[in-house]
Amino acid sequence: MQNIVKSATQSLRSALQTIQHRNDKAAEATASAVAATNRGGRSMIGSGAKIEGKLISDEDLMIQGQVKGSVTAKANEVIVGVKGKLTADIQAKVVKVEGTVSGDITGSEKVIIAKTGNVVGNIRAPRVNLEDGAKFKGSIEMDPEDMALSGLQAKSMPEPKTRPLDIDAKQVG
Amino acid sequence: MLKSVKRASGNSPLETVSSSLLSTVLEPPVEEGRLVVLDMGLAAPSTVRFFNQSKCRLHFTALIDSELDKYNREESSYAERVEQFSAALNLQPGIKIDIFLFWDLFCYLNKSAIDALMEVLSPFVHDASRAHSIGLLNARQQMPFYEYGVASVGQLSQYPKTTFQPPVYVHSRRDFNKLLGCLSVDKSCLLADGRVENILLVNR
Repeated sequence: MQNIVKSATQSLRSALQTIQHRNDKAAEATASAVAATNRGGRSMIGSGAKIEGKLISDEDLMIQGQVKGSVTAKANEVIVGVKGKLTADIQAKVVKVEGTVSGDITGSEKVIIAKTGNVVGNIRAPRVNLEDGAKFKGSIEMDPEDMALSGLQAKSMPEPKTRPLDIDAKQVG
Repeated sequence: MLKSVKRASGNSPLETVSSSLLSTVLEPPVEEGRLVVLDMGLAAPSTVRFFNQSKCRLHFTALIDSELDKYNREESSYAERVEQFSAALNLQPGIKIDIFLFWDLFCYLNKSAIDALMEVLSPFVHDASRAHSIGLLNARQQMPFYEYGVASVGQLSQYPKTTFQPPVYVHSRRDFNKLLGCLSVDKSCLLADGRVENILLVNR
């Protein structure tokens, strides 16, 4: 528990250091976005946040807000929550969509569209699961052989050198 | 424009129906590379599950779930229809489709619209392309309103749709064959509820 709190504090401090270098509006958006960061060892973009730009994370990410641009968490999981609305490309190890995404999704391991999910775009992953009720329009490119390959890559992946949560964002709307 | 399609979830009214012809479309192996499938509906979970073990590219156009009226308008020219279908399908130039899953799309298009659609699709057909479609046995039958998918090699999945069903066009086999252009009906087989399923192969 102490480790989780420590990790959350470090991530929040790191993110706040990042936003000090942004303009006021961007800082406002970013601060709002990271306000609920690291709940249960996972960064979270809250439902009140609107972000435009590149979002890079080295830990699992839950998005309940609105993002326009791109989301990258190459070695981690990205969950677009039920309230999440993304007009963005997503690149992650595992991507789960419970909300709305308009953009291309790349999952090095798996992409899941939950029953509440609505996706318009192209999906590329070794394996794709659509739950009953999910809505998807676009193309899916699957190759189960890539699964083994992505597993090997994940094992040999070096420790991340970047900040835990790096948001290059500006406020929108 | 994508209409809101309510699909079964939770206590799903999903049904499976035996198909005698689906295996003809699904079984022939692709010699090399990726299997390319064009599905005219929204992605059915069962279809994605079925192809999950294959190296493949699945295109879900959701054309059946779009506003089909615009393709059937009498005042539209042939060129306009071709342009509309090209925009809606948005297929990458140069790709070749191995499997076309038309489902019941042809039932909701008039002759002019089918003609234009097949014109748009013809560059994407190759010698071994094959297709599956569902139609009505005759004009007296009511067309059930389902969203279709592949459940297994010998089974279709069907999800009842709760949206407004577009007007149904019944085409005689002779007219239908003429409209298909580079494809033609190879075999037909009865399905439940007065429907027939068709296998379409490339004209040689």
